[in-house]
Amino acid sequence: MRIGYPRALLYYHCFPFWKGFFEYFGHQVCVSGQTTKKLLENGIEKTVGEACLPVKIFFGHTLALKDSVDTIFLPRLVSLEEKTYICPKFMGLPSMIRASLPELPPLIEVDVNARKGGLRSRAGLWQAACEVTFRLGGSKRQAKAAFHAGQFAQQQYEQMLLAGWDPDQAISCLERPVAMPPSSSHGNSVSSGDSRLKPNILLLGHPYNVHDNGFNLGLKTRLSGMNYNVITMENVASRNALNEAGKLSKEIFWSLGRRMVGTAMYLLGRKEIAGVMHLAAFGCGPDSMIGEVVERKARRLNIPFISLVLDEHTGEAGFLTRVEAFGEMLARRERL
Amino acid sequence: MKCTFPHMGTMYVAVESLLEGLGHEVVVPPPITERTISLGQHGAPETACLPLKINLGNYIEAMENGAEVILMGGGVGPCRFGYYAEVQREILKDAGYNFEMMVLEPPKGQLSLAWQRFKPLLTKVSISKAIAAVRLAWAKAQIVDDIEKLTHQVRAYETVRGSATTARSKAIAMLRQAKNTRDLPRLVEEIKTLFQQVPVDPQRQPVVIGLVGEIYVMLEPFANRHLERLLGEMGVLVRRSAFLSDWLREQFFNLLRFDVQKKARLLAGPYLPHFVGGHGLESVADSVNYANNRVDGIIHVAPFTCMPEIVAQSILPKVSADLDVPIMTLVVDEHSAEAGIITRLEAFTDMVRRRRARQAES
Repeated sequence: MRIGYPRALLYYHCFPFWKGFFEYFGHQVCVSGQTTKKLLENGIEKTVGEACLPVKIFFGHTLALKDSVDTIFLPRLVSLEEKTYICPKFMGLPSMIRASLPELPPLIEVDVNARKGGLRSRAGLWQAACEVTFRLGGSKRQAKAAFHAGQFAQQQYEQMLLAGWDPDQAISCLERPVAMPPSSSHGNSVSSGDSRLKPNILLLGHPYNVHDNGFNLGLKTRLSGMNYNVITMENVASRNALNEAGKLSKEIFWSLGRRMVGTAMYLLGRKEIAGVMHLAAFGCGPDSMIGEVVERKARRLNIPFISLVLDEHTGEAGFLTRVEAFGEMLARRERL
Repeated sequence: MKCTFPHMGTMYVAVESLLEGLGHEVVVPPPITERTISLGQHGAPETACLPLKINLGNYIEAMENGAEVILMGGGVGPCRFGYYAEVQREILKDAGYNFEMMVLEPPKGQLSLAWQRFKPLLTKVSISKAIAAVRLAWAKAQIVDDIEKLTHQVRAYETVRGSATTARSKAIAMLRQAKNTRDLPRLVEEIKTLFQQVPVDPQRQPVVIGLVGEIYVMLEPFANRHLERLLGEMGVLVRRSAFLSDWLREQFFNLLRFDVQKKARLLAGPYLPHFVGGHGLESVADSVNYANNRVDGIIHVAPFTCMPEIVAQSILPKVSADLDVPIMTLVVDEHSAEAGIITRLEAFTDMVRRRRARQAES
């Protein structure tokens, strides 16, 4: 069976798990292509105006898959970690898709809810894996093996990200397990030796904003081109980030938001970054609060902070001017 | 300790009574105006939702009048409201205000520490007096809801425009004066007479429009630019899906609401089988409920960028098509203007009226 997986939203966060999981059963996992202008337009046409751009992109990717696959995998993500939630739009996503796109192939819908915790917060994922297995006609024993295959891939993926790999690079490397992983091309790891020469810039944002070049107009590459060492949330061990986030007077209750704030606090505290760039989609609920929290912390420590808010009307020229201005300001500060 | 709290429609009537009963000096924030919004908007994150900004304006105006302690609700997500208090406190601190913020939510860490914080709030009067204060406040919350329902009912039939609104303000002012639960039954009668005196045209057959959506913008007339009054004065019989006492019950006695939640889940189930925080699920469920009860139209109100309501908004067109009921979504923010809203409401009510006339013919 050909299972469609849209290259959007939490694709960058948990795709390797589901790929490993489905491939254990011998299914073919088809991913939609990169975000293009056409795909974006298709998505925008079918989504309510008020939704954020990442959701519109998700609609576009789902539409792109509809004719080429037998089924589309569309989990309802409620929580990724204990005692947290994720943005409400993820909880409603399958329902939104069903209400707006009637002509899709059958969907595999399953709740992923790690909120109750247990088994190092993997319980939610395990339950989801079981449910999908049963729906595909498998047994509990098979579910277990497939779950482990998925976990294995996911752990490898997360380690590669931690070492500074780009998610697209890491995923394509996981697809050809025989090939030896090439050494990190732009070595943006916090700890690697040579990168210490370049100033670090923290590119803070949801993975689907930071890693989708169709969304952020290739921001990561551009920053590397401007001779900055780009650090993203994935480059800091989640243990460290969550530890820092726990020091807030009230813990953030969004899974990814907590990790983002923790990452920023960890790096701000260690004085390892020259500036913080917060990349958000216009109208993003969690980001409006997270950006505010991080901005105030950065300002108190006198570390430059810029908030880049993008939507489908963003012009490339204006966006780049702001990025360049921020970069030059950082460079001038370094020289002083 | 001079306490204040944010506005939400008529909530101040109950909360003022409660805090006074607990022996505190209360500074009710001045009624919301454009100034409130512009004060609040100034320090708030740009894409934060409207209630956060209006709350901030309320605090600032209350502190201008001498408030020292701010009482605010909390929560654990996934709606942004749960993190409001944190962000608002930091904004006001950085702006140089001097105040204490008390967040009413399950405490983090030791219970005894939490008790230490809330002790001054609760222990100023004897336990029996405190219980009496809670009972009075709760009774007032329910009466205030009855006043709202009466206003909706009478306004659609009034012959002199604005007379129901005047009766409502008088009734609320009378209710604010009440200091004792014993006085309330007599007061309720007086309020009923007040509304009976409003001249009405009982022959009128108004169209019925149900209001669903996010609770704050539904309850706070300034946030929705007096949507209910505008509709009522256009000769529409307004039905509202949630009232103050529903919200208070949900905040403070969550356990008692299981039956309501179950019903909502059942109604919304075919469209949205999972809760999405805030009132997203309720918006879908209430719309289905109104459609089943044959209202002529439904208006869905939401603050701009509200996450749960965006989910509801995406699903409502399907509800509208399946159950054959017109649904309009009205998104409000600090830039909404009454003229634009009036135009949309007129267009919608005209359409609903024509549709009903056509249905009556066939």
